[in-house]
Amino acid sequence: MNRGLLETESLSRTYHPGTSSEVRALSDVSLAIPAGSYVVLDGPSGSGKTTLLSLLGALDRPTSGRVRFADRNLEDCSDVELARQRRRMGFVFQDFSLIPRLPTWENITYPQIPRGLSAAKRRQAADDVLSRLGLAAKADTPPEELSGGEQQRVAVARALIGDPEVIFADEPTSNLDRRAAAELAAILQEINAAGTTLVVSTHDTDLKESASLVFLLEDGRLRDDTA
Amino acid sequence: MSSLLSIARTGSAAILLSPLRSSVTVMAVIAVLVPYLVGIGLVEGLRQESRIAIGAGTPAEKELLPDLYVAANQFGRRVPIPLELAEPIRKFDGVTRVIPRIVGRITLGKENVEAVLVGMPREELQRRGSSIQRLTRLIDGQLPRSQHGEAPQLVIGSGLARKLDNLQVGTVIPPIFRSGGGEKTPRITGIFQSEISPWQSQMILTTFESAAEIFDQRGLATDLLVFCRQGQPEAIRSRILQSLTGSSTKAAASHQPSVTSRTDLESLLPAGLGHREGVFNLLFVIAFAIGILVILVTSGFGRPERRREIGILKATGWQTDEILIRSLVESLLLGLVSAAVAILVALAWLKWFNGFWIAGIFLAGVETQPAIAVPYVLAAQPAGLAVLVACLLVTTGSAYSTWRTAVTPPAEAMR
Amino acid sequence: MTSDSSNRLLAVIAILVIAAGVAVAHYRQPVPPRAADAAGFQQLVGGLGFGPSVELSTCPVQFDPRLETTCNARTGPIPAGGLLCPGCGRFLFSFSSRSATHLTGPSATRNVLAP
Repeated sequence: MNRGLLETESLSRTYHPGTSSEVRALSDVSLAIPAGSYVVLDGPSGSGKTTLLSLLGALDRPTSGRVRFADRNLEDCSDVELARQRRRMGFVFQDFSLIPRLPTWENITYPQIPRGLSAAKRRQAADDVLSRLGLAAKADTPPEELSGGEQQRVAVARALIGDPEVIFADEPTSNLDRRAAAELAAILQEINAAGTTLVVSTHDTDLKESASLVFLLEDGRLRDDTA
Repeated sequence: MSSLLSIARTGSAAILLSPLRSSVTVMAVIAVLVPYLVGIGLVEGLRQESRIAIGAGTPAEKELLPDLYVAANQFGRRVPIPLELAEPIRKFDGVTRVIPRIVGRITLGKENVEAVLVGMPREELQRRGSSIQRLTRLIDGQLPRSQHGEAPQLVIGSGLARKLDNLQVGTVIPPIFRSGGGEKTPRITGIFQSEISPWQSQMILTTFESAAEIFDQRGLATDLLVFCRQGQPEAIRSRILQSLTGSSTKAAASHQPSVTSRTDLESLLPAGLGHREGVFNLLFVIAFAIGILVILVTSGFGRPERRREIGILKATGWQTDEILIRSLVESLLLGLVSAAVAILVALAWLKWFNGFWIAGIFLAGVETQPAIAVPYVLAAQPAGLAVLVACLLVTTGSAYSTWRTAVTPPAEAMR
Repeated sequence: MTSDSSNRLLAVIAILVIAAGVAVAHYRQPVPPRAADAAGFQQLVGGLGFGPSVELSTCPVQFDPRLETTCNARTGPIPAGGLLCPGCGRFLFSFSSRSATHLTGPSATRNVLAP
């Protein structure tokens, strides 16, 4: 197997280990994601898709196993280094995870603040991304005044703004109507076409059809016939 | 540097992102600080009034106030001093004047309203009254002139006037005493202006002669006010103690003198915020401890949102230290706002509401709605301490929960 | 919630802090006319009133230590009552009646057993 942008080796994650509520969410998952690919993580609810996505995106630490991102072992990284790795990634969450009351353009550029960009430069960058996603007119609107589809596009804009090497999207279309889901699928395809690696967990057939690689998860394990 | 500034600026924005949490936190801190500031404001005001009462720092007034106060003790307790003891003191070198004074406690009316009756010699009152410019600023009416055997003339305090059904100048009040000379009907010749001093509130000023008649105590005074030439008080004090203690006269032999100088009184003034006897400081330490608990509880307002927000920041590349800086700036700004508002509220409470309710708690004998102009001073030291306490309270209340969330993996914080 | 709102908030905070600072600067001393009147009152009564009480019923020593030097209620029935008198314990501005004892002068202390 070619060395990928992202690789996992015997990756496991157990929640509340050693207690009566212990849950083994992921067991012994090894996979490789090449740079520039469009990867879909498929599987029924509770199969471990979100857990795997969190571990790949350095949002969580594994119980055992390794995650390698661009030749760097994430489990060896300090808290500060992990934060730096996350700046090279973008995230789109199922529930959008936007900050209420904060206008769209500020929501999008909030990750840029620690980089010392002036408000004017951040605004410019936000306007550029929002134009690409057809939301230029909504720059000053807070998320709670946007539709579900618009909010998810804002989340995509936030993921795009740092020019990431990889974007992770967790069930990005599950809270959207058919039309909005189709629009988002097109946007994601466009992003991937521009060279950004995409890792998407989904049941959506439109998204699966666009994928170059599909991993099927079942009970926290990767199915042997996957990919 | 610019990134640090940018992060710091998000601290102020964070206040607006959680308006409920911010306003509850500010209100909790204000609730802790205002009683402290009002209380310390009263202490400082009273301290200034006390300094004026002993003429501290004002040479011109020192001339007009006694240098020594001579009283008598028997069996280690304070007793009236016989007037005959004034004579030997008058003859001491360096003594310019000796004035007897009566200060006693009486109750008035059906409700037994407490009053402090002060008697000063008639001529002395007139002499002092004429030397004070614009006496009307002190008294609404006239000074008492009643002589022995006449109906007493009284100047009463503003608090007494209000408590006794809003007494007016010229009112004749029912007899307040029954002495060997029989009943007499006192007349109000004046009322102290409310703003001149807190101690005028329950005071009745009359002539020495009338006071002696009211208490039915002839030939006695509460204390002797001794005026000395400059630089002489200490020597005269020693002389009074030596000569009267060893005197062969009957009165002197049975009464042991005690002499108080203004310097003695000055040394009693509570020293700043650290004075040991101020139970208030103890109360404030308790209030501070409770304040931290209150802030911990109030910081729970909007905690799930705050946890999620921190999770989002971490997920999008913010570092733990950057999140802590943001939270620190937010806490400091909230602390500053709280302290500033608390200072302004305390000032309003003291100045415009005249210490309504709280003055009655801290000053004995003062009503809920004070009849005196409550003395206050907003000193820089307690105000600075209030800022420090406010910032410390808010920071302490939020630092731990923010740090805990910031070191939690984002996936868990956002769950 | 824009940068403008944040700027406005900072401006409000600055105004409040400045207002509080000005208030402290202005009211850190008693207003002069009041001090003059208070001095006039003290001249009239020969110097009377020194503590946090305006009458003699609760604790005469807290009205003026020239009148009394000890507080009879100092060991009142409250926790730590040996330290605090229930009457004067509530006062902010209370001075030690132990310190006030020295005002009785050397002759009186001959009659008092030292604790």
